[in-house]
Amino acid sequence: MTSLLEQANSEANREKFLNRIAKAAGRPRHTVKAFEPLNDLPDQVLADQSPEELLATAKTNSEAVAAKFYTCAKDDLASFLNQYLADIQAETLLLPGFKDDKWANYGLSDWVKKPEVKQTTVWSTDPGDRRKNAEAADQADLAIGFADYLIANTGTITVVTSPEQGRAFNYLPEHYLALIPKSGLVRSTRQAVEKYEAMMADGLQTSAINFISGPSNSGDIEMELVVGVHGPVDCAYVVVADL
Amino acid sequence: MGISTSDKPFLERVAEAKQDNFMQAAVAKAQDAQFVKRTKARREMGHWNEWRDLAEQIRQHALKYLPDYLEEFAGNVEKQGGHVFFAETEKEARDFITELVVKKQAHKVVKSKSMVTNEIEIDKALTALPNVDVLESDLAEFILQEDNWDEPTHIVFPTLHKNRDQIQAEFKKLGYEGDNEPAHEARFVRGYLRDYFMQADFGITGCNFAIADKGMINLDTNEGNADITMAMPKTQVVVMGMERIVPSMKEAEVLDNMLARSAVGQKLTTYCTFSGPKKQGETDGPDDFWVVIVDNGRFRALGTEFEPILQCIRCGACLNVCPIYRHIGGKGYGSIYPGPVGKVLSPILGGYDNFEELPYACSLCAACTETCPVKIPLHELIRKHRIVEMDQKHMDHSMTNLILKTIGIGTGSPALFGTAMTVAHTGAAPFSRMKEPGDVDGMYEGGKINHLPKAAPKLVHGWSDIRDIPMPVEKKNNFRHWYKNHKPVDPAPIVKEKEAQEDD
Repeated sequence: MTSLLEQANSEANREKFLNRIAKAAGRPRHTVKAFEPLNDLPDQVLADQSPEELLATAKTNSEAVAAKFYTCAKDDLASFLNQYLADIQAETLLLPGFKDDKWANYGLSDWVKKPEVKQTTVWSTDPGDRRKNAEAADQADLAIGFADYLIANTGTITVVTSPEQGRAFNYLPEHYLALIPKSGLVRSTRQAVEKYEAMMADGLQTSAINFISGPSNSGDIEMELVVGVHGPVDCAYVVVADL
Repeated sequence: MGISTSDKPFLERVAEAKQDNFMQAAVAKAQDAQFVKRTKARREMGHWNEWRDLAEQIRQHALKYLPDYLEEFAGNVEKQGGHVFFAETEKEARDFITELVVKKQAHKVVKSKSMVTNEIEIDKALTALPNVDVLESDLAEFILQEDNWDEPTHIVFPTLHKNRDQIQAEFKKLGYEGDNEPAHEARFVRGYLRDYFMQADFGITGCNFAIADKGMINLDTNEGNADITMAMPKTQVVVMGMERIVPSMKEAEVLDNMLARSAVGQKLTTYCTFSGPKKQGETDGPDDFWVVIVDNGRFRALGTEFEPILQCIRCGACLNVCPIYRHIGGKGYGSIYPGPVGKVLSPILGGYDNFEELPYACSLCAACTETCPVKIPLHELIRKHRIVEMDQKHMDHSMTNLILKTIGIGTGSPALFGTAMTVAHTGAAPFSRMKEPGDVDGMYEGGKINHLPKAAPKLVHGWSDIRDIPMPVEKKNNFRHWYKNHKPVDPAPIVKEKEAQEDD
């Protein structure tokens, strides 16, 4: 028996399949034309709102998806985070493995060296530490990570997977807090997607772009909404001004 | 079995569903709740019909150039070190994944919810392997699995037919000691599945949309289980129906918004992820990324009047408005695709012989067509299936043709029609009974035909078993008589036209 696995990525497997469906459809191959949308509705979403209005909309929509929404000045951020750790009674904290300049940008150079929590783990950028990172994320009470954008229309934050902030970082900890620069406030999912497309064209390498709207939830048991099924049981967005 | 979920005859399944009062109440509650949420979410979006036009255009464009976009997608997956296998049949897809699990020596397979993986019955194949465990990680799918792989009843809410007590009883077998509160039950599953996730070495996901120009897949979930399935295991297999392709992230983004609003009344699902193979330097995610693109009969719709069914984005809104689904629930259909979408899709994927009755489980009310976010003319396609079954495949071997021809002759001749009107009441008398409990007042004073011999033709039973057919009235009370005796004596008064009034 020929191994099916050997057929993966083979021209023969691909061509046979694609020729068959082209024939069934009665349309020749290699005729694709660029998609020209018949309207520009995605570009019009919240287009009439000022930055202040957008921030208010973002707050309303974030709270509607059960996310905690905060705005904080850069200078106050360190004390805000310590207070947050105390409020949720976190004992273990997970931080991304970014170099100091990223933290300095948020005024957290000193804080990151000694957050007020019993135990802090930093996401390892050593590719051999897959298991170690997963366990740290699994055991963390809180992960504090960086997000790129906050989407006003849907109450969504966006995070790219990177060597410093991997997938498990965003999904396994009990609580999750994302720091978003105020400049990252966008109107719509369309606007965020366009920004990522531009970044990827400029060389951004990532295996996953995550759009996260509040804490994990499910309505699978009698359609009663339950929060925190697999991912974080709560989710906080902190919009940081004056970067 | 393929997409079939039952080998019982259709009418038997319907009879069983009619007995299931909890299911009927749950479906009615879900439909009503979703109506409110869905309508609110769509209204809030604004210009809903124009959004639908755009979504339809995106789906039709992708289908028109399907081979080209699949080729582009496959090329981009390969460029990133991934592997793509095109499977013409469910068996090929199933065998391929089974072979991969064996080759990778995987022991702990974790899955996130996916209709197409149900189509190819991958769970059964993998659980049959020695030393391989398979776990569904979506809460609802997990509940079904623990109940001996019970059939789903809805494509978005698979466990609609189960209540919290049944779930509590199931979980007790796994060590749950709590009460029947959904929050506590879900919390238990979180811990149970987290332990499994930490050991999982092989992940299987579906795909809401495949992004042709990036070689990435787009997944929408509320629980986050798909994301953990993509994070933890070193190997990931994506199983996608071949039609689930879009040109770029922009088109996916439009559909993600339409999907969430239509499926659950949310603006976006909690997690909406664009994902591909692990990139250099990243410490988690799939080292090994495989995509299995499945045809499994979809090609039969291509280039035909049924092609629009491939526009479907599996939101389930058509189920949530269907009056038939409201009464018979998902299990009544005997297909993993129930409701209006199932009535169109099941005969295409599973064959007319297996799903002959489904196109008739429809009142052609068109509520499904009206709600569909990608504008699939569902009720028209259901009607077209009937035409195929009758006129092309000649699947009806009953006396229907003969009866209808006879009725045609009878109603075409005034003399025969007059005679029929005269004898109808007396002729139908042996087959009728008077009013029954539950009958609507004022409709059946003359009785209804509900007492037909078993040997009566299928067409006749169709009119009496499922519908309420009133007794024909006596000749002296029928419409023609009534009309003759009630002609107006005076002509209707002419209404004087109002003089034009000036606007204030």
